[in-house]
Amino acid sequence: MASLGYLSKSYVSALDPVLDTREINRYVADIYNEDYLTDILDFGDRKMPITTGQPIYRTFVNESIFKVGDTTGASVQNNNTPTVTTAFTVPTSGYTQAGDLVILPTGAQTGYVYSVTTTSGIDTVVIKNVNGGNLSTTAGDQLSIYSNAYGERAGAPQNVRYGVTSYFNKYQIFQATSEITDVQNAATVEVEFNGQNKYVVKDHIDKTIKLKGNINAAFIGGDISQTSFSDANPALTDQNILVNSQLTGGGGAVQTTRGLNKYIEQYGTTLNPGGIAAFGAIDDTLDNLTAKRAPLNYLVAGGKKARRQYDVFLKNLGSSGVNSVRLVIDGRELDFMVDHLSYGGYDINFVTMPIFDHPTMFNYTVISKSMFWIPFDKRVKIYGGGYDPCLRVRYIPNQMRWGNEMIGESHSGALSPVNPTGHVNEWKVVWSAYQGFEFIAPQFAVRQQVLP
Amino acid sequence: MQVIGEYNNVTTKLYDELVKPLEYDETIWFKMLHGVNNLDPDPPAPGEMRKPKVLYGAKQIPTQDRIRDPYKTNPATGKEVGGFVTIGVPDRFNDNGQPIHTKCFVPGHGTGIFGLNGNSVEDMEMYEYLMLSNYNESNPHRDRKKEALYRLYDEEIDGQEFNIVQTKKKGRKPKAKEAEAVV
Repeated sequence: MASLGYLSKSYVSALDPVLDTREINRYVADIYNEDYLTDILDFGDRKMPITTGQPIYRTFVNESIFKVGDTTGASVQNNNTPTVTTAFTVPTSGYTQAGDLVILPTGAQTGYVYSVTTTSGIDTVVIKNVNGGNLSTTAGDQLSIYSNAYGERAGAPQNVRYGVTSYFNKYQIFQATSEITDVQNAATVEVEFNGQNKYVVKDHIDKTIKLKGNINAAFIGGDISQTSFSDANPALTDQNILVNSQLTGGGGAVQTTRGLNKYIEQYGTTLNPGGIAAFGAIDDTLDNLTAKRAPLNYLVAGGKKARRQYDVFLKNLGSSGVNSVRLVIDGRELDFMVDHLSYGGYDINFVTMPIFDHPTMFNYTVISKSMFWIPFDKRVKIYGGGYDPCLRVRYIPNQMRWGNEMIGESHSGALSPVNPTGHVNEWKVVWSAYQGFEFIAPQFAVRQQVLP
Repeated sequence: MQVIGEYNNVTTKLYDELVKPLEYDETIWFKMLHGVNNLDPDPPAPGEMRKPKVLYGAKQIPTQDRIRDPYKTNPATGKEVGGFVTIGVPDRFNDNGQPIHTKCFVPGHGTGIFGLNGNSVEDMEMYEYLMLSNYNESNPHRDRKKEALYRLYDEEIDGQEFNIVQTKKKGRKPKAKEAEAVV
């Protein structure tokens, strides 16, 4: 309706809410940065298919050949005489025999094992001083069985059996879904995603980031499930049974894979020096690694806040102490610089791993407060020479028609441009990955808490 | 304990309450609390090393802690008002005699239990600290926000896991020849 007055902005805008055009930036800002913050720097060697297809995979490791007898809790008899009797704990019993030579902590004296009696798994050991002097030992001493000696016209010593131990892990099934209806698929939006103004494009980007992030996070913080796919009565079952009144499968056993953190907690070493990152804390870590017969080249990865604990005093060392080198993965140099420190016979390379900086993922756990020490080139020696990747991803090769080697894609819905099926007017995509983490030598790894 | 100024300066009352004297040849036992069920244990085979039913990784017990001493007195009034004390087992000192590093203590790896002997100065110092620390689940004055890492070995509770002959004393384990241990 006409009226007297000037044409103001408020007049025209009030005529109809859809009359004004809208000034909207066509780009959507990624302020959450999930893609970067779920990255684990090409962490695991992703070239290990599970050729048998079995959901549980194993690796065998050897045991030490040179042993120690732990006398914690022993009742020492005839101490301070040339012949003493002591006992070894159960875990360190079963392989000592007459003729072995042990070295005692007090005076570094050598004792000849005269006899071994085993009762209930405990070795009671009679030891004679080879030089005829008195032997001194107390309960708790660690006696290294370092050599042996036999007499003239001796028979053969007893055979010692060195076994192998298997470590296992399970793969996990990861999934992500994108589902869009006919109405929304036809509509456009004001903003663009990868040059297209369709919302489904954004959804596909989000879901692939989520899938990748879920997998990477499981490889860092996941824990192995008690349930296996082979269980007759699984304790953990898929509760995703009925969705939108449609049966979608579900009810099956659920497996989860053990990640780096739990591997280290269960088989490696976890250190908590009390939040002080200094040479004392590094010394303790190196001492523990040396005791575990670890390699000499280490990658120390953590979030920015944890890493600052080291940077504060590392940078004060000046250029003579710390320098930058390229990151090496499985013998390949990447175009990625790390801070390198050579100390105490070890080469230590510090790197920030983005996933540890994620503000919600591990932020409330010890994971984000720690630095993780892992073999630098992520390789472990194998029997007979050579190396094997020690950090790797085991996976079932894709069984679906679409996708790539490691991730399968299934499409459904009447609107699917790839595989139109059924009569539901939607386009549904499901990504599936069957992957598990494997750490061959977790004994060589340390999780060092540096923040309170 | 090495008392340096206020460092390790707990009241006698708290010390006497928590740190029971050890006899010279006595061993006191502790149990780590971070064990997890081993999903792949080997069947029991006495005399051979096997993977245990419960896994105990190598876990460091921090050897410096800040505890609450409920018996600290107000110097002016002499009343017990409580206070806070930093305790630790130092092994390195700066030029002023102040501790700059405490011992790295990683016990119980594999077995989940460890013992300290009354005939060792090093063990005795560690024992005093462990009894007073917040990481000791057996400490009634501990800060419950800190994760308990160990407690005194209790035969009635722990004997089943470690299959050790019954003994009446808390925290004490029988001598090796009396034990039927399968760990």
